Amino acid sequence: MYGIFMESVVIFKNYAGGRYLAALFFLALLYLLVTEKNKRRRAMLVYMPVSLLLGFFFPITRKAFVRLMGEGDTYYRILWLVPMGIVIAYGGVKLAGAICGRCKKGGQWAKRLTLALLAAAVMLCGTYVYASQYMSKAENLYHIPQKVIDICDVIAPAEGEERIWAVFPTDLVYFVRQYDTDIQLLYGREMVEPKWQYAEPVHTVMNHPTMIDIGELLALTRERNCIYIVLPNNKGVSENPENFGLELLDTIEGYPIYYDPVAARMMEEG
Amino acid sequence: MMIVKGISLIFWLFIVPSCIGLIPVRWIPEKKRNMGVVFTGGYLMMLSLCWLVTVPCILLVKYYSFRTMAVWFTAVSLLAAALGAGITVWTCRQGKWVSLWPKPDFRGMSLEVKIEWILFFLLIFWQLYKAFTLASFDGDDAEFVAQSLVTQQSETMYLIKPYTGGTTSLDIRHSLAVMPIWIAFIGRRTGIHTTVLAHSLLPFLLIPLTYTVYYEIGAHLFKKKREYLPAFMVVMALLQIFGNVSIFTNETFFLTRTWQGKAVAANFVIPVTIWLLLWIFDREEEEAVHKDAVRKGRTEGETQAGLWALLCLANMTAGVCTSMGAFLNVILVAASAFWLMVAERKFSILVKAGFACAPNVIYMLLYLFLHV
Repeated sequence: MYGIFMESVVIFKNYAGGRYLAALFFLALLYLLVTEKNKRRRAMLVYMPVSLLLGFFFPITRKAFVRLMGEGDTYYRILWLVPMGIVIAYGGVKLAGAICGRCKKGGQWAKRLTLALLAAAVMLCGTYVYASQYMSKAENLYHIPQKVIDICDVIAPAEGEERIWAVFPTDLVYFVRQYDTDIQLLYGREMVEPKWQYAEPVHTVMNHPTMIDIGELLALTRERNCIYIVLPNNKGVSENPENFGLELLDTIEGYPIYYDPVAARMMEEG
Repeated sequence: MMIVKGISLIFWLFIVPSCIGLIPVRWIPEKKRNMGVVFTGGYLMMLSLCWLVTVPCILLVKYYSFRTMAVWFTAVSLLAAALGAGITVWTCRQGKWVSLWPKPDFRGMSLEVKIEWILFFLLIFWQLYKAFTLASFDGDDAEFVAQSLVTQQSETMYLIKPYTGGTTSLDIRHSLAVMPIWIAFIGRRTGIHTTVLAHSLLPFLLIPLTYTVYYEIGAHLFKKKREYLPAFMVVMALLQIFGNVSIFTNETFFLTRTWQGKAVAANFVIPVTIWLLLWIFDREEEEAVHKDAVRKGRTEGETQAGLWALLCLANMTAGVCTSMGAFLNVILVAASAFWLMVAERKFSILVKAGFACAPNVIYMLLYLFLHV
């Protein structure tokens, strides 16, 4: 039980991200506990969040959650139910109002100072979302890398034609089918996420750290009617793909796009 | 063509939900009626209707289920919108109409309050600007956004693997959370690619929608000190912008995955539930409400009926967003109802809250039934 409790502590720490917004929340909670006179608001903004937090750390809750959901990775979502933002904003603004009421002289300025300090505390204790490593300048309205769109436009089947199978490098698989679902992939995101630890032979070949074995790759792709192969732009190949009959259609941002006429013929022949 | 798409988008994202939201207004206390409630309620109803139409289509229609769903949902949405408009016209004719638009007293507003409101709107503008000009990478989009696009392009629902395109048996785990289908539907009706819709356009709806809910919460908490409301809103907006302390927080989800069902559950449905619980139970003016209701020949229960209905719809919408949402909202309602019961010493609160969670129970039973 202690081990499960400690797991929940780690999940909470990861959720709080080592910043002090959580501390700000606890301060606001404490302030409301002491000053909030309305019993229904105390129930909603003090007791309810506290009971949810206690429930979150209670080992049996975690056990039940894992049993019901079949996984524990999303246990942190229970913390979404704790209205941290509302408690901080309500507690902070209420405090500013109380200070204003208590100061006979300069009450308005004391209130303004408190609000300014609250805003500064939120900014200093938090992390600016737009500085996140996952944010980048949008290259188009789709908000996916332009190179993916350019590559897809080269290989996508025309209107009314059959869907095609293709292989893409690991870093591009996330976006291909957000642009065009007529392009089918031999492996997708489910194979490239390390945490899921799935194995797929084509991905194993493509994911080699330095060198792609073209012979091995084609043996697998031709078996599965895959007629387009997009190779990574940062790895070598065991042999020139054209020696195996592949046709280079284009190279976009260093990603060579190959058409495999052998696979196309095999597909036609059924 | 662009103009037609723009008009269709405004029609389906703003006009239809607003008209639908007029349906429950009559059953909400007069003092609480405003455009925020109408718009939010409209979305709760529209998404719930989407679930009621989509799930039978997924389970019963074998081929081109999305085509069938789109036809039915168009009819149902337009009918609901017409009903909302009809109720409004009828209420107007009876002379019982209450203006829904806020009437801010700009002249009576202090300079400080004006500055705070301007600051708040600048922060909203900043979030919308960033939502449009920045792309955020999230692996789940390969499932969520691709699911919408598969639906739009293949006209089937949950029969094609979004990651690869391979066919599959019905994907039960995701099929009850129909948010991607709703996005595909909007894409179908407007002719806009669902990825553009999700990544570039929906934030213009979902970000203001969330702040509408925070506005209602703030307006309730500071109803006696209205001048504090803009400060509350500014702090809320700052918390969203600086809430990215980890990839797990609801604030991070709000501004980096705005369009995903789980983000909508965390930042729209959960706050809506808290707001409705506050409105239903935290009634400082209950005497006034009661007298007002009696004066109009209605019981207090009748005036609250609309709020209870909205709470039920919020619970349904939680399941529309994500299957876990249906489960989480039950915990939220149960925990809140327990403490409100203790505060009020009324066991009936727990019973009423239990009834409000009926949609979640049905949802979870269906989920289990389909899994077995």
